[in-house]
Amino acid sequence: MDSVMDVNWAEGTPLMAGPFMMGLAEPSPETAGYWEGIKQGRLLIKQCTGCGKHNYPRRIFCIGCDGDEFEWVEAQGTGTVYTFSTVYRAPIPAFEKEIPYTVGILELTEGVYLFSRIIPEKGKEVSIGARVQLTFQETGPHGRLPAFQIVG
Amino acid sequence: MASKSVLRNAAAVISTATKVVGRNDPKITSLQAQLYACQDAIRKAGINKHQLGAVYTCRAPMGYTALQWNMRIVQELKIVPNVSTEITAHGAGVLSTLSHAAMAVQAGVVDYALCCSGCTGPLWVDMIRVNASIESDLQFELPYGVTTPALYAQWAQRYMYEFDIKPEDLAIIAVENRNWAIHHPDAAMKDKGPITVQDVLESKMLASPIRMLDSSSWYRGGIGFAVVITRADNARSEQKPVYITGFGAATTHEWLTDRMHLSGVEPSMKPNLTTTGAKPAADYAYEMAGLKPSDIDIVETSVPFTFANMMALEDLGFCKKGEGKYFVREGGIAFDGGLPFNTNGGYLSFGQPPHGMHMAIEAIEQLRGEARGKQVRNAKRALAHFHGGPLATHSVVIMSNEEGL
Repeated sequence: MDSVMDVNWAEGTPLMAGPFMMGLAEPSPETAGYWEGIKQGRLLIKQCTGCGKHNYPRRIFCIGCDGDEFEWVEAQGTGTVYTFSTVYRAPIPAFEKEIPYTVGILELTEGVYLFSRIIPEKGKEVSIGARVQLTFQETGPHGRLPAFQIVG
Repeated sequence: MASKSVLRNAAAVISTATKVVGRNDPKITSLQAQLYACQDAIRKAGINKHQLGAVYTCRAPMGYTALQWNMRIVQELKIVPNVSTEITAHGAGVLSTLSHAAMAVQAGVVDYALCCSGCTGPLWVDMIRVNASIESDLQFELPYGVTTPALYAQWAQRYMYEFDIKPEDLAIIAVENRNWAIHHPDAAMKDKGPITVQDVLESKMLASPIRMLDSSSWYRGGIGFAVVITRADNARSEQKPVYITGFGAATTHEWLTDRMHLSGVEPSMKPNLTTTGAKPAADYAYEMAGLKPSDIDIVETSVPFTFANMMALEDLGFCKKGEGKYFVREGGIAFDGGLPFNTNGGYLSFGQPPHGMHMAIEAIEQLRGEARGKQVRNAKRALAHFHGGPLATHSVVIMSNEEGL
């Protein structure tokens, strides 16, 4: 199993539940391509082969045409901050050394909304509408995950 | 399609029960708390438990796992109902048990229905840790280190940005909720005294822009709840029936980020973080009830943060979208003279027993003139709104104490 997927997200402990967690903490067929991309340091999203619209990795039917055939395509890695929150109380000890950190929803250039970490510019506050660029960083107990750096 | 108005006042709540478990009381499980409440509600209804044709429960509570929760309840009550099922729409499902019971008795499928919920989770598990793993997408949100406030904060930040809402506008809601809580014997914050806007603004930041006093407080221990429902024409006046006048429900997503991936729906439900499924749920309930927001005397909501209370006031129709800040600033929910809102203190100050039915039971007790806290005088109609996090699924029930209303 992929190293980013074999922990119990709630506890930061090894996941023992096995296939019982498929679709929740474990990739299911509709999200497996996304996690394959993460292993290679690439951010993959779905593109509908019918209408060409880009889709969130979980979607089973296209948000544009309800089609069910997708290709995994690499996102440009650019977008803007749609909303965000800076977290001052960690959910589990594994995140405490990162406090405070910012999480939020990015609107990718492709029109897909993605939840991620947001890395502020040094000494500046994050703001809605700010432009972002994809990077990867070590995140809590979960290894290297996508994050978005604010670009001026 | 048949008119939904056939359900208007067709069913009535004839008993309620609340089993409070304090921190210093003998530690009991969520299963026990719900069962004690069920026994009590059946006794107060003055019926034999074998008259219960239907039992509606919610999904299993936190801190006590059963894969088939409803079957555990039915088994321990030692009854054999014809209809028994879980209404699983998260926290909204707690209120929707009443709606489903109303449909079953109106249709003549059963004479009496029992609805129960409740949780003693805070006595057994770390709720801060566990709750985020229930309310967030385990693949696409939780790995980034989210807490429950950090999930709701995404709505709060965008909502405050789009409508220029200030933290001090939201703080008024925390202040007013506390004003009600200090009168209620079971409220978690009963003994904490009133708070000021300044207290809220100076409380600890949890996840910007949400501070400690913008947030619900976990209930000190746990509570179990139950109600019994029958057909309106089967209710006796000594049971002090409270009629179910209208109801509605709506679900927009399971996880936060998915709220931004809706399509092909009515304009207010297009991808955004400022309007919730409370709006279509309430619209449906008002239509069934033949009522409008100005006909409502009391409003109770289960939303757990100040901003979400303001959003609920808008979505439930008590002010226009974006005007909640003026409504609140101008005394719209003032303890003295405003719309009675969260009359037990709400999630912020009564507290949050997970899977609580307390906001509905508060409405029922108010309409019976049996409020345990501050009684609202001459109240005839109440609206209860429950949601399942994060603002994902919504249920609305309008109730009245006069059958003919």
